[in-house]
Amino acid sequence: MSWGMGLGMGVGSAHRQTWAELRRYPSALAGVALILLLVALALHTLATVPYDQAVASWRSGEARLPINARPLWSDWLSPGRAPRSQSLIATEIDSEAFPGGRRLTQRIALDYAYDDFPSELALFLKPRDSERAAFLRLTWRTPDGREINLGSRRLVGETRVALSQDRVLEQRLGRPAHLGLLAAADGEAVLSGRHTLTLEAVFFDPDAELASELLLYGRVHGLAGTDHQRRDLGLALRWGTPIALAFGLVAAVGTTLSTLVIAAVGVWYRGWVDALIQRLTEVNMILPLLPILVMVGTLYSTSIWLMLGVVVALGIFSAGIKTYRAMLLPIREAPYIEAARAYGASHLRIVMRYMLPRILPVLIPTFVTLIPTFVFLEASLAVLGLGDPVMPTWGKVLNDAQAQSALYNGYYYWVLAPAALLMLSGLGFAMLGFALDRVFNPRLRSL
Amino acid sequence: MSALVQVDDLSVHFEVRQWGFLRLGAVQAVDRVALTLAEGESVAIVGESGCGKSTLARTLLGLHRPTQGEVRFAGRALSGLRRRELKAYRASAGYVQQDPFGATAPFLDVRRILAEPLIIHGVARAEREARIRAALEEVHLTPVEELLGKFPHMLSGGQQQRLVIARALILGPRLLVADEPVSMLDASVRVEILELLRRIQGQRRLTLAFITHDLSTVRHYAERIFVMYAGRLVESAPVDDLLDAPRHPYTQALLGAIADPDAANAHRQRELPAGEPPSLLDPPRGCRFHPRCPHAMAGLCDRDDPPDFDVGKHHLSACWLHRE
Amino acid sequence: MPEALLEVEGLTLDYHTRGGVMRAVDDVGFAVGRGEALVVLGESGCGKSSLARALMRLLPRNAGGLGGRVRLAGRELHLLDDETFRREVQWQGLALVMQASMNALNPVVKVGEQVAEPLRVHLGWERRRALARAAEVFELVGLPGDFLRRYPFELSGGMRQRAVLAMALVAEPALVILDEPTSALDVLTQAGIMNALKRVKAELGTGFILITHDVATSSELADRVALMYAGQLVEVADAETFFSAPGHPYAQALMASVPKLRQRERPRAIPGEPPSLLDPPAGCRFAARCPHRFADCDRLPPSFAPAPRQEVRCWLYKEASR
Repeated sequence: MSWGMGLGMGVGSAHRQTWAELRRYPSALAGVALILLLVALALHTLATVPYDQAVASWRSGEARLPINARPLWSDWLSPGRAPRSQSLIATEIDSEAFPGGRRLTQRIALDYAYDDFPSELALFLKPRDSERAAFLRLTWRTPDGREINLGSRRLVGETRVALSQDRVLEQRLGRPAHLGLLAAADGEAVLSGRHTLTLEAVFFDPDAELASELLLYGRVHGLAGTDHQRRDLGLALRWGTPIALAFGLVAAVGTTLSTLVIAAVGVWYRGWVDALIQRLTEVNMILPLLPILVMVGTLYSTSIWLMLGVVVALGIFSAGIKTYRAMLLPIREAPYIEAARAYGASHLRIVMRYMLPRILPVLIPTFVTLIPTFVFLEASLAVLGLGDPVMPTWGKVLNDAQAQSALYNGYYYWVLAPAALLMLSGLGFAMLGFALDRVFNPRLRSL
Repeated sequence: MSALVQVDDLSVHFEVRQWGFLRLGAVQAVDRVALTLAEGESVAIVGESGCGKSTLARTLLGLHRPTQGEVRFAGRALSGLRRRELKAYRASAGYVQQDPFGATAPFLDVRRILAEPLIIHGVARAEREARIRAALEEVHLTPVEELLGKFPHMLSGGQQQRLVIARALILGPRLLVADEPVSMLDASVRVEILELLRRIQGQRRLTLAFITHDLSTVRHYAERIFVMYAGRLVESAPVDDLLDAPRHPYTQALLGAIADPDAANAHRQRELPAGEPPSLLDPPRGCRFHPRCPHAMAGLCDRDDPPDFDVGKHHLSACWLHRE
Repeated sequence: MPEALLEVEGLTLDYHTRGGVMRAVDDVGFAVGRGEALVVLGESGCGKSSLARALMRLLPRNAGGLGGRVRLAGRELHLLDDETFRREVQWQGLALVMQASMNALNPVVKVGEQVAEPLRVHLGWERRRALARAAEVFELVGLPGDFLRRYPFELSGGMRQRAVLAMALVAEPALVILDEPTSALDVLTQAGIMNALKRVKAELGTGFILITHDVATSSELADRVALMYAGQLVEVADAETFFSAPGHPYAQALMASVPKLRQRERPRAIPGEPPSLLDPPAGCRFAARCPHRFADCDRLPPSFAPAPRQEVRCWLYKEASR
């Protein structure tokens, strides 16, 4: 016999009726819709973004993503069109062999049309069949005919030339390259029109090839923007969904089940067993959960699974035991329980099939409203800096935002999106839970 | 007639403890009770609430462990039964409780309520349905087809008690213990249920122990009566002897308190014993009725437990008045 | 007949339930004389407790459609607003002892204070005087005076019930309504309380309406008996008449179903069940279970008077005067 059977017996018969009742509460429908939305998002994420990829991307960021880009939708809130990231591939215009090597000339044409400067400029260079170090000279030509020498550099293997971080160039232009190169000669304004970057590479290998790409990092990216480490916030928000739901669900199931079973054991056996459970519960109730979690996180590990384990372990002897005990005590004394003993039902059967189904009506709403509290707990831990070191979660996003003074710096979306997701999940489960409470506990209906 | 149930010197005391271990005392719910129920006999155990009659009933069913003494069923002591034997015993002893409204799980339908004992005792699925239907027929819960899918709250009080009786009978018991089976039912339904129990008892040759506080319901539904007071058995006799000529002062008081419908009742005060039944945590020494008894003899009733005196054919009374 | 104290005419009470409107009390009329005890007898669900609630205006939330006329000592109670009724009629005019009300005592207030409360709240008596009066009433219902200073948990169920009774009597109401006052109590305790009620009735001249399902208990107090079936009164008669020669077939069947301690006659069950109050039959409500059923029973019978001071709602007595 299993818990599931006991549960099925209680709910199965009344199940259709419950749903019919539930549909009378618009808030319940809204709650279910929100939960379904979150679950769909979680499943979609799991199906489309593999875990390893998500973790790797979250750990080191993506070189091709801009820093602190706003989400795309922020464009609607401000005038003008913010620059998108633009990738431009070089076209080869000249190749000249010389003894022991070859010289390549490439050109990248940039038709710049945005009203604002990009956030960064970088050049990705991938030489092939080149053993020895090559020599590279870069020249920028503006639409108004100015030629700007971007200097020369050695080229060994695959290289990312971070033009915006070139201090020498910055001194020469008076400002970082992505501003200086695209601005008009005299002023602040963006100079639109065709800019041209010319690359002259001298290889000391006769068969060497060069693939080059100029990347203008935009000011907006994706639905959620990016953070200070070139990480896509959207990724963290999406991956945070299954993690949050799983954490909330596992913690809620774990604490509810263990609490329930222990309460039932205490009520059934009474005497010193019950007394011991009650005293343990009372001691445990005055132990503060959050500080203990902070301690574990600080001294041992901040792995989310460890935290989950600690939450469930501390939740076993939680206040829920008192509630369930109070509900189970009168049920234990019900004549039908005694009748069951008289016809030979085992202890396990009585507890599982005759006692627990009676408290399901209270259990289910409580359980549903418990889920978001654990989601919030995980987020709180992460905000306190005790988030899982590997996994992207909503709490970690908030933690980073706080560390980077996101609101002070105007990165409101950085706080808004994870906070909204947290609130939506809380709202969804709470609305469903409250409606379930009303359906299952008719006494509340008239309130 | 051979003895089916034999109760020897049975005491059931409940320890009262604080915090699960500090012993504060013991409630002497049943104290040194001896009785024998013959196979196929129907007896009534009568007394006020708290006199220990329900505890006695539960001990007969093996639901309480005797503190002292023994309950024997068909010659075997219940306390000596192994787990499996105890389970088998539970199939041979049926139990009907006072409160039909709480005696069945509210979330199970009639079919399932009756199936549970069968499942527990390993009756094959194929056989179950037939036995469930037969049980419903036997207690006249018809139409069977219509009732199988109903939940207890959809049934009337009388129907619910029939269902409880059907459940008690479905395993084919030899002993049926009915603890106040009609006290929560309406007057017109009471008789039906009592008649039903009487008929089934006769047909199945069951041993029926019928626990009640109401002596007026006993006459036609039991052959012998046992009267209990404060945990002790005070008098036992065949029904008519006891109702017509009670010998123990407590039985006399109890009978005197019961009204039959009569307009003259309204114009006379009833003779009643003073006071209330004693606390079973600290019952009085000697005869437990002596503080209320109009015939109490100082130096005797308040010192020594009265033995059972033989006061007639199969008529026992535990009172010092009979010592001559 | 003594001077009428309470007169009830055409009392109806409806409940709104999931299944529709249920008429729990249907056109009930009776009178109680000064110092007289009327027993309202009926099985569970017949509407007798609703009748008590309707008289006391203690209606549940789903009640609707309370109709009819109630006169107490000539005063038209149905014309009073709730506030006046509560202030002027409750406790002093009508008092109610509810089923299991012994469990409704406040566990943390001494019994004496609770019993004296109606005097202090409704009549504005000062504490000492009210407690002295409570002590008198305690004695009347058979409780020692020092019980005034006890808490409810120090009293047995029977004593608590007596205390509740004392509380109902303390403001000397003209009429006390007792709703199943002894049904949860033991035989001896029950008999003791009935003794106390008889004493009160004799000494104070209080009128009683005793609502019960227990025929034997009802005979302990009754001057008159009103038998209720499926929301309607089917017979109202003097106790002598009712217990010796009941007129209505239901009354006869009910009397025959009561096991009697001192008679060898075997009780007989009443076959069938009472009709649902959600959809009662158009004719006589007992017709389906009645051994004397005939064609007239398809119409609702009015009350006939086969004997003096006896009203029976049955077509068998159609020859008798109305």
